Amino acid sequence: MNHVKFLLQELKSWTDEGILDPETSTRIASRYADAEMKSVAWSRIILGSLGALLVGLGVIALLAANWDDISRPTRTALSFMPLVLCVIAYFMAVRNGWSSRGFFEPLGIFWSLSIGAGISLIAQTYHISGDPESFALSWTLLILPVIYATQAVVPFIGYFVGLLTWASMSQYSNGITVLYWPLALLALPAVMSIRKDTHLSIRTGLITWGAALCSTAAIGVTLEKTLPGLWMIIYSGAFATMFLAGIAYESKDEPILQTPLRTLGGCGLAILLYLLIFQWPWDDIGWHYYHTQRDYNPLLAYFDYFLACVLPVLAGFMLIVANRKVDASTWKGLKVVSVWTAWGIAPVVVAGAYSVASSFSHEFVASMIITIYLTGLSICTLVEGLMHRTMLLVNAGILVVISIIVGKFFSSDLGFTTKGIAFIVSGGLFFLTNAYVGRYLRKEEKVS
Amino acid sequence: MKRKLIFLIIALGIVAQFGLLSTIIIRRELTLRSGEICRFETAPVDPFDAFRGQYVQLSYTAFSSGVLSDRSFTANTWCYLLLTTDTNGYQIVSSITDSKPTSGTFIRTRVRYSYEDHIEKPTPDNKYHREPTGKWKVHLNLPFDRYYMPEKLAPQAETAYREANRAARREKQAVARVRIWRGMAVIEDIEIDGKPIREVIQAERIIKP
Repeated sequence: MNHVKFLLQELKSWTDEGILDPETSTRIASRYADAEMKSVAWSRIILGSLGALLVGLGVIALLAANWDDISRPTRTALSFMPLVLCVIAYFMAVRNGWSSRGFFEPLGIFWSLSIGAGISLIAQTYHISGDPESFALSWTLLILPVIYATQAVVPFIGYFVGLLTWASMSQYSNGITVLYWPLALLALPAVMSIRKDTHLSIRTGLITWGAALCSTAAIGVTLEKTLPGLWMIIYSGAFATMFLAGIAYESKDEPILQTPLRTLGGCGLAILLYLLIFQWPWDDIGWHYYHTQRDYNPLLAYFDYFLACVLPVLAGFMLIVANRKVDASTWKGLKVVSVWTAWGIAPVVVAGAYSVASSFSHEFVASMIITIYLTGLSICTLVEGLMHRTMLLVNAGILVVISIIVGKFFSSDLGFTTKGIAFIVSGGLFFLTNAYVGRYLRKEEKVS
Repeated sequence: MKRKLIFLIIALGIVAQFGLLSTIIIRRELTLRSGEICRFETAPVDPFDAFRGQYVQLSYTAFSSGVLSDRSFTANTWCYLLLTTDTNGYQIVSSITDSKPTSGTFIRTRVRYSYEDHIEKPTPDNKYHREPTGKWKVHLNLPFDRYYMPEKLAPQAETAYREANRAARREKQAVARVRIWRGMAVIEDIEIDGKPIREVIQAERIIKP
C-alpha cells in the first residue's frame, strides 16, 4: 500500500472518531488525491517506452525487409504511416483530455523514431545521397514539435544529443557550429514549462541533466579555438555559472539526480582546475600562438571572445544571486564566507593565471597559482564539511587534496619508492580522516 | 492564451514535419515524371551505410577527376553544371557556373573543393616541373552518387557492377539513368548493357543458382 492510500484510509477513521472535522478531512483528501493523480508511475512509463521503442524498430525492420517488393507510391505512403499514427494519437489524447505520462512518454519516443524512419525511408526510395550532417539536423529539428506536444523525456534528451551530433559533424567539415546555441534555445520554453509544472521531479532532473551535459560538450565543439587556451576561461565561467545557479535554485537536500546544475558545475570546476594544476595546458597559449590557418575562421572566433567575456560576468552575477538567496554560513555565531563563493570566483583566478601564462610565458607560475587555489578550495571544502557535519563535503575536500598530491607526485621526477610511500601515506590519511569523521558524526547523532 | 499559443506552435511544427517530407517527395516525383533522361558512365566502390541499409556507391567518369573550370569555387557553395552529350551518347559537363542557366539541361549541386590545375613539363636537366594550366578542378558532392538496394541484392549488384566496370576488359557498359528537371537530379536506375540492374541479377541467378 502506498503512503497516500494509507493516509486516505486513516483520514476516514480520524473523521469517524471525531479527531478531524469532515471539511478539513475532505480538503486534505482532495489535496493528496490530486498529488496521487499527478504522480508518475515510472514502471508504466519505462515499460511503455520500451514497448514503443521495440514496436518502432520492428515496424522499420519489417518495412525494410520487404521494401523492394513494394511499389514507389506505397513505399512513400508507408514512410508517412508511423508519423500519421502518432499525430492522430496525439490529437485524440488532446481531445479526450488524457494527461497520463504513461501514454505521452512512449508516444514521444515512437513519434521521434517515426520522423527519423520517415526521412530515411524517403531518402532510400528516391536514392537521395544526403550527408549524415543534414540528416542529423533535419531529424533533430523535426523532433522539436514532439517535445512541445508530449513533453516526454527521451525526445528532449534526443533533441540535445541530436544537436550535439550535428555540431560535432559540422565542426569536422568547417560548418557554422555556433548555430547549436540558438537551436538549443528553441527548446528552452518547453524546459521552463516542465520545470514550472513538475519542479524537482525526476523528469525535470533527467531533462536538465541531458541539456546540461550536451551543452557542456557543445561548448568545446562550437568554439573556433583560434586563440589557444581561451577554453580555460570559457569553461571555468560556464561551470561556475552552472554551479552557482545550482546553489541558488536547487535544494541542497535533493539527490544528485535532481541537482544537475550544482553537481555538474561543481564536478566540472573541480576537474577543470585539477587539469590546470599541471604545466602542459599552459604551454603555447595566447596571442603569440594565434591560429591563422585556413581551417580557423576569424569571424567565428568572435563567438569565443564573446563567451570568454560573458560567462565570467554571468558567474559573477550568479554569485550575487546565490548570496542573496542562500543564508550566509555561520560558525559559532559568526558569519563566514561560504565555500561555494570561493569556488564561484574560479573564472577570475583562471583568467589571472591565463594572462600570466600568455603574456609572460610563465607556465610554471600559472600552474602554481591554480595549484595553490585548488588546494585552498579543497581545504575550505573539508573545513566547511566538518563545520556542517556533511560527510559528502568532507570526502570531496579530501579527495581533491589527495588528487593534487598524487597528480603532482606523478608528474615530478621523484623515484618510484618516494612516490609509492607518498601514495600510501595519502591513502592512509584518507581512510583515517574518513573513519574519524564518520565516528565523530555518529557519536554526535547519538547525543542529539 | 498561452495554451493556445503552445498549441499553435505544436500545430505548426506538425505541419513542418509533413511539409518537409512532402517537399522532398513532390520535387523528386516531379523530376521522375517530367525530367529529361540522362545517362552517365559509371565506376563502382563498395561502402555500407549503417543508417540507410545497403547501397551501391556510384562514381562517374564525367566527375570523378573533377570538373574543369576557369575559376575557383568556394567549398560548400552551390553551383550549376550545364550538360551536353558526348559521341557515345553519355552526358558530360560542358561548363560550370554559379548562376542558374536559362536554357539547356543542368544540375544544381554543391562544391566539395576546388584547386588550381597543374601540368608537369620536362625541364632541360631531365626533370619535371609543375606549371599551372590556368584552369581549376572542381570536385562536387553529387546528388546522385548512391543507389539503394535491398540487403540481399546489393552485394550481387555490386559484383555485377564491378564486373561491368573492370577497366581492362570493359566488355559491358554500366550506366546510371538519371532524370533531370530544373536542376534537380534523381537516379532512376542502373543499367548494365542497356538492361536494368535487377534484371541482370535475376538472369545471373538463373544461370548460377
